[in-house]
Amino acid sequence: MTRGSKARWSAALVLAPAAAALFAGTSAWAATHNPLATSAPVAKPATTDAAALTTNAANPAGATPIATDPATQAQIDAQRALVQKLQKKVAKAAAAGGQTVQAWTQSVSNGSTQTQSAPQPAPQPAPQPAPQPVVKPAPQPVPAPAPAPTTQASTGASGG
Amino acid sequence: MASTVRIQIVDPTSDAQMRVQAAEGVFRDVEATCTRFDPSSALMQVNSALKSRHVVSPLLFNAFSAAHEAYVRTAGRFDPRVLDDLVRAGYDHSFEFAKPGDEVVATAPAESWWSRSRRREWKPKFDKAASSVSIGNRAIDLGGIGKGLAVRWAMESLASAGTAVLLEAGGDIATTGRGPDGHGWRVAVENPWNVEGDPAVVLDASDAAVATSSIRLRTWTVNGTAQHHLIDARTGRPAQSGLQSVSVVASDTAWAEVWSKAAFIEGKAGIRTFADEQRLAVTWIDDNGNVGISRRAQDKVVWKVSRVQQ
Repeated sequence: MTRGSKARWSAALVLAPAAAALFAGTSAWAATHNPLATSAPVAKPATTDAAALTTNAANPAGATPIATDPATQAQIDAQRALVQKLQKKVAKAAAAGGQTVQAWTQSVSNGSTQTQSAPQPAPQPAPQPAPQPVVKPAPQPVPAPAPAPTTQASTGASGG
Repeated sequence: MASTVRIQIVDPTSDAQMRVQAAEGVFRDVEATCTRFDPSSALMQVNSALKSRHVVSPLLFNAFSAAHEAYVRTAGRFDPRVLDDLVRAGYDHSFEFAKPGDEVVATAPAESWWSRSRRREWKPKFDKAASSVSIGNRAIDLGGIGKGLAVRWAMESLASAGTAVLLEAGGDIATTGRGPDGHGWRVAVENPWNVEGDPAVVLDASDAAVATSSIRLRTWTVNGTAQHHLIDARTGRPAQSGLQSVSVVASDTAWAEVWSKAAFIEGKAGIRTFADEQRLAVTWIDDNGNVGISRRAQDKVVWKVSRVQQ
């Protein structure tokens, strides 16, 4: 055994029990603790706080930054832009719906046929045609019998 | 016979005229010999002395022989011993064209005659060598076979008068060959209620004979009771058959006439069975106008209706 290896073996003898003791201790601790119960509270993402977003959107100029972290602030700005875009779509859709109702009412008052843009009224049950009486096909006319062929004589009154 | 005789010859031979004259002579001889409406006829001479033995002409001898053979083969359905029955039913004179409803007064009390007992089997005595005959104790009427015999014997002269021949005598028809156009002789069976209209049946009667027993003619009334000339020998009275007419296709007019009468007497209920058992080609029309045909007649029928208008 060299001098170097003797030193490594000595170190190993010291570290191995220490490592085993550390492993046993941490395993025992893990077995007695619930990781969920002890996890740190998760911060709600800013984008899920609709009320806050609405408030900020109503007064963007006076909005106070919720987070000072640049990355978080960038996310907040992006979500605000998305919210504004959606609000515009909602307003536009509301305006379009009113016009459609108006157009449909107009067409009804004029007694004209419905326009293509008018919403289809509740489908009226299609009038069922009156049940047709069962009509048997007219009997085919009985074909006239073939005319009697030409004969050379007749019988019918003999035997007297 | 009080019937019109018609002869049709296709491609007549050089001696056809002579054969026609011979045929006409046959009809004259049969009429003169076998009529019951002439007291001087040979038949009525025999009938006037029933229990005597009579030497008769070959024609009358053959007529009696044929009548007896028909009596035997039809098991008595054809029975020529009905002369007295006919007279008592009012058929005492010739009225070929009497119309239904004509009133005829009977010449003898019918009830006393019809109430007589059942007649015995007919056993005439024939001596061919002597051409003599004893017919028994009842008068003979050859009306049910005489015309057929006349056509049979006349055809013996006419058969070779041309490539095809048709001889008709009052509805009894005999033919040879395939007719004027080569497609056969076609014979119409008349509608009894409308003889001028469409027939009930059209038969192929090539090289054959046809005869009909019908009550269309020779029907009359006696004291308001309908009568006709087709006597059922079992009762001595006009047959109540439910039939208007019966036509038979056979090889010979005399047999066609005999079987048509026998089938008529058999009646509506039994005619089909009777015809099939006897292997007869029969067509018939019942009182309701229904037209029937026997199995044997099916290949003879060219055209028919199932029912005729009354």
